[in-house]
This record gives sequence, structure tokens and C-alpha cells, in this order.
Amino acid sequence: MSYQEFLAERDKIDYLIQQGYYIKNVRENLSGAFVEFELKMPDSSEKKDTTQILHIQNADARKYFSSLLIRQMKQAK
Amino acid sequence: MADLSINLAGIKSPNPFWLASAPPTNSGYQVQRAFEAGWGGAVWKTLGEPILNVSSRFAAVSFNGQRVMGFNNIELITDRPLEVNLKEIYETKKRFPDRAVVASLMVEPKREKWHEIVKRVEDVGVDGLELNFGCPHGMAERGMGSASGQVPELVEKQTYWVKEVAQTPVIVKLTPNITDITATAEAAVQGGADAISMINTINSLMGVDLDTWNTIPHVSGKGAHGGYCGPAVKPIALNMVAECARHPRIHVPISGIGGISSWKDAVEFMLMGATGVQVCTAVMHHGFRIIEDMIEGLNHYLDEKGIASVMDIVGKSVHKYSNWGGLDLNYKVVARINTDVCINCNKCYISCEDASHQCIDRLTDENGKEYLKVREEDCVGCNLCSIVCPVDGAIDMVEIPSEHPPMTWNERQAAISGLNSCNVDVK
Repeated sequence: MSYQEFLAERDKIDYLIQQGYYIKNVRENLSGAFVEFELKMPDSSEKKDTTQILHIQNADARKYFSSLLIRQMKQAK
Repeated sequence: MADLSINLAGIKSPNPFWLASAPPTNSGYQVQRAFEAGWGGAVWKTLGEPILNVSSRFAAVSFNGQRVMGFNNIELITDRPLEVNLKEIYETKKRFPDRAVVASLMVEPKREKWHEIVKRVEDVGVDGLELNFGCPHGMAERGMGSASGQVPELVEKQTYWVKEVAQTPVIVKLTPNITDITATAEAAVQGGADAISMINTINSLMGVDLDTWNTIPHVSGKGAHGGYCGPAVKPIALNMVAECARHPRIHVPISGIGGISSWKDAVEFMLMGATGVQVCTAVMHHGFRIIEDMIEGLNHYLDEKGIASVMDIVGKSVHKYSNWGGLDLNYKVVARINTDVCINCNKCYISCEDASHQCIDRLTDENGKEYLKVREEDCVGCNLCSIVCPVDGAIDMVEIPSEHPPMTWNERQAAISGLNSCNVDVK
């Protein structure tokens, strides 16, 4: 089910954003999009990976992270 | 009553409906009867060295009971001497001074040939010239028509030769048998064209007879490609008009041609940038008197919209025509089936299941009655179900508000490109 795939991938994206990650890099190829997230201001006391890569395959989810990316870039200006 | 008069590059007519250069404008008898019926202008059947025609010449595609959805011809330009045509043009213009009489011209791509015919035609008082760079059959085999019209350099050069001597506005009629019509349109502008017209007919073979295996039409058992026109070509023509209208270097008026059969078609062409329209196939099918409905319909439309002059609608939709990359990816519509109107024919279900995104469910209510329901979250808004639905009002395409602002493909790619080339510091 396409919508279920979207929800699953959107939730993964949202989770990282809520954890303080931002989109650092996007690589797209025949398999979809590989979105690299990096943690903003990593807390050295916490053992957290500072980068995470999500493989986004669903078309709506690829639109979703793109909208978040544009918003992120506007906020950074 | 709105003002229906137009001014196309200096050629004035009392309404935007002209007859296209074709069999209905073959003679003074026909054009004068057309003017009596109310046509605003006529582009005379193409003048040049008189040709020889074959028999038979026409064929049509009918679809599901609708006659003449598409029409094909292998008739060439005028088969009458220039003097005969010029005499009738003179008489027609004298009798109908307020109508636009435009002479379509086609000669070999030689400077002196163009100069000669332009001077002789203008002597009888035409309002303008239309250079036929579009006719795809017969004449093209002799280097004229679309054979000239497919080569931008030839379009530019021949337009320039005509403009060297022409005293009246010059319209360049373009062939659609080319990958990008803006290339030849731009060449016409470079050559000095005062206006462009499009589209001429599209290369076509109408069919093959299953019993005789002859082409349709055939000439003693042999066929040759013809020119396709009629309602079926309207979307192709409309796109080409719009592509030229929105092109920054094509800044001359456009005369729209291609499948125009009603006032509604005319309005669409004018909204997409045509200053006026030319009609042929609809007249070949129904006769000159269709102009009565066209004028009446256009008048009502403009009055209802509160628009004083038809010229005020020219080009009003051009800014809405974009490249795909400029469309909003976050805009969403979904199908909604009105079960009180739906007749449960399952056409939408079959189409969605077999050819689209499998988002219509066949369900049964508590009374055992079957009904169809769209899973809106899975619907991509392709429109297929509403297109195939045989019942008006049974399926609505409903806009779903987006939680995100508009985002085009171009904006998305620019954002990703910008991100990857120089990472934005948001820390």
C-alpha cells in the first residue's frame, strides 16, 4: 500500500527532525533518494550518532522531505 | 453586444472567424456566400502555378458515431489560373470591403517567384498575404509547402523576400510536421513576418481497407500521405499556438488554426494567444452557416463575462501555461464518487485497477447494496476515473489542501543542488 509506505517513511523523517537532525545532503539515483541527516549541536554527553541516512523510496515521501528541505533552507537564511 | 472586431497585424475584420485557406475558399462564389453568412474573413485557397489534382482526395475518421472526428486530404493548391482567382478576389473585396480577404501564396523558393506573385496579388486589393509553408502533401515533394516550412533558414529567407516587396501584412503559415514549431515561428519573425498562423495539416494515412488492402483514400489502388485536420488535431494545434504565444522572441500576432469547430474552441485559442481563428473542417462538414452559432455564442460568452471587446481575451491564459518543471508538486486533487449519482457500471473501478493506481474499492453497505469508494489517501488525482465515467456528476475531482507551500520540480532540484554544492549551515 503506497500510503502506508509513505507514512512509514514520513515517520522516520519526522523522528529524526524531532531529534534535532537537519537535512545535510541528498543523493538520488535509480533506487530513490538517500537523505543524509546531521544532528544540530550534538550533545557530547549523549552517545548519539551525529549523522543518519534514510533511504526514501516512496514518491510522496520524496516530496515530503523536499518540502522540509526548502523550509529548512528558508529558515537558515 | 460585445465588440467582436479584431485587428491582426493591421488586418481588420468584423469578427475573429475567418475561413482557412482550403476547399471552402476555392472561388469567389464560395467566399462571397461565406461572407453573406457572416464570416469575418477568408484566406483564399492557395495561389501559385495551377496544379493538377487526383481523384479521390478526402477521407475521414469517425469515432463512436461521431462523424468526421479527423479529416484528411490530398488535394493540392488552386488548379485555376492566377488571373481567374485575382478577378474573383477583386470582385469579392469590392462587394465586401469590411471583410478580411487574405491571399495564401505558394511558389518555389526563389526570390523572383515570390516577388512576382506578391505584386500581382496585391494589385487586386487583398488585405494581407499568408505564405503557405505548411501544406504537407504533393507540393512538398516539389520543395514547396512543408518542405520549405520545415527548414528555419528557408522560412526566414522566403519571408524576407516577400517582405522586400509586400505592401500588406504578411502572415506566415507554419507546418506542425516539425519537432519544435517555435523554431520555424522564430525564423518567420526573423524574416520580418507581421504575424504567424498555425497549424497546417499533419502528415497522415487514414487507414487501410481490410478487404482490398488499399489505402484510404486510394487513387487507382495507390495512396500517398495526406494532411490531417479536424477536431482530433485541436489539442495539438492549441499547444503549438500556446508555445509560440509564450515564447519571448515570438512577439507577432497569431492566427489560430486546427480543429476549431465552435465559438468555444475559438475562445480557447484566443485565450492561449491567438488574435483570431481560421476554420475549415467544420465548414466542410456542416457548411458556412455554422458561423451564426459561432458569432451568437461568442457574443453571449463575452456579455456574460462583462467583456466589452473580444480583443480583451487575447492571451489571457498564456501565463498559466508553463513548463512541467514549473508545476506545483504539492497540489493535490482526489476523486470522490457520488454514490447517489453513480450507476455502479464499474468503469472507474476497472480503469483504476487495470491502468492507474488501484485506489477504488468495491464495497457493500449494510443493506447489501454494492457501491464504489475511493481510498483518497492512495488516490493520485490522475482524473482517469472521471474521464471514463459515463455519468455527469458521478465523480468529482476535489482539491485537497496541502500542509506544505507550493513546490515545483525546479525549486526542489535547485534546493537539493544548492544543499549538495554548499551545505547550508543551520547549526
